Amino acid sequence: MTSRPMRALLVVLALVLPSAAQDSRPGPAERLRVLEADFRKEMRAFENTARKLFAEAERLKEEPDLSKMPKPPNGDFIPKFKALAADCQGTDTELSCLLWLFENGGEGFFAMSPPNGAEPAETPRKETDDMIAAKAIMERHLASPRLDGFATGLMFRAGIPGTRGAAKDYLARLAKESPHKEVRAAAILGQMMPAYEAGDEKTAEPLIALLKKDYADTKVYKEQVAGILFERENLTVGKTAPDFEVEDIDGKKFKLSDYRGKVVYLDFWGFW
Amino acid sequence: MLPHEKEMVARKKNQPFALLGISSDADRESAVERMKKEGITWRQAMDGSTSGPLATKWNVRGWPTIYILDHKGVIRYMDLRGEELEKAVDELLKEVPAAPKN
Repeated sequence: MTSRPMRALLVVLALVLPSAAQDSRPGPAERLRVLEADFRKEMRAFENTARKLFAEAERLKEEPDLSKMPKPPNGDFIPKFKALAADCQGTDTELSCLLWLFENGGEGFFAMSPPNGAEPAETPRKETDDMIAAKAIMERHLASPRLDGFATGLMFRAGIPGTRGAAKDYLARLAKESPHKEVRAAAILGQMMPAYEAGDEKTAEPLIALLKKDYADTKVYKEQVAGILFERENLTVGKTAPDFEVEDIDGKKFKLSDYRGKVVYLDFWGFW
Repeated sequence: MLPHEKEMVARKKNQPFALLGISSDADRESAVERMKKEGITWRQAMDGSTSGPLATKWNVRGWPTIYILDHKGVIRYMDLRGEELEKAVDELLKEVPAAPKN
């Protein structure tokens, strides 16, 4: 094992040594920057094309012709991010590549919640690039402070047959072994949520208690756990809805309680 | 969702019923424009994004999330849709005491 400062020193030396100067290839960090920028550009083009297709279908009041959808750019970039990761194993740039692969290398939203509501098979599918990246992150970057989003991604995968086993295992390790409080909080939340949503109070309850006791000052708690607790305590059938005040689109303030005496249909929604 | 909501609002125009929309759209301008274009007449507030303050506080993680409250402000139903939802609203409307006549 090379320590992190030592590794950084080696990178610096490699950059300044005359032998390295003959190698005109840009370093990993620069390659990552270019790769990420290229991906963002292609993703924007893809989203624009998709948006136009949907807008046109809506104008004609037709279903969008999905066969005309361009291919998302993820597929072309996966081998590039993999190659870069392999060239800089153990570095923070590798972690960036692996986090990208984790986010973009899976089967995406439809694998997580099939449109027809059917449960996908429990048997593990062919190991997808996201889970391969997850394994590498666990092996080489467990101590990184950059893993809170990773834990959230694992939380979704812990709810899906096929990735459930590995995701649960990784979350348990992160919750115990990460030296960073935010990461541990995100991992505990990731363990708690699937149980909570399945109504498994026996598993969820001690994890909620642990978050309340030791993690109330984390961002994860304030942004995600507090809402869950608020919902449990105030937003169940039979409870008086907690009041709130908001401003309508004409700039006029109103309260939910202004509507006492009426049956209220409260709709959290969006066009997107 | 939207067509049924419009129908419901029209059908219950003279009843003690209110539809309140909390929009999680991030682009306020285009959302408001579409609301006008779609002929949405009921009251709307913008929460800013899917992680807006109210959606965060109420732990909204799926859209739409719908709460049906009775005339006393008590949560009576969640997650109903379509016909089932309207039937529930109709039942609750029967519970509303008749307005005193002057």
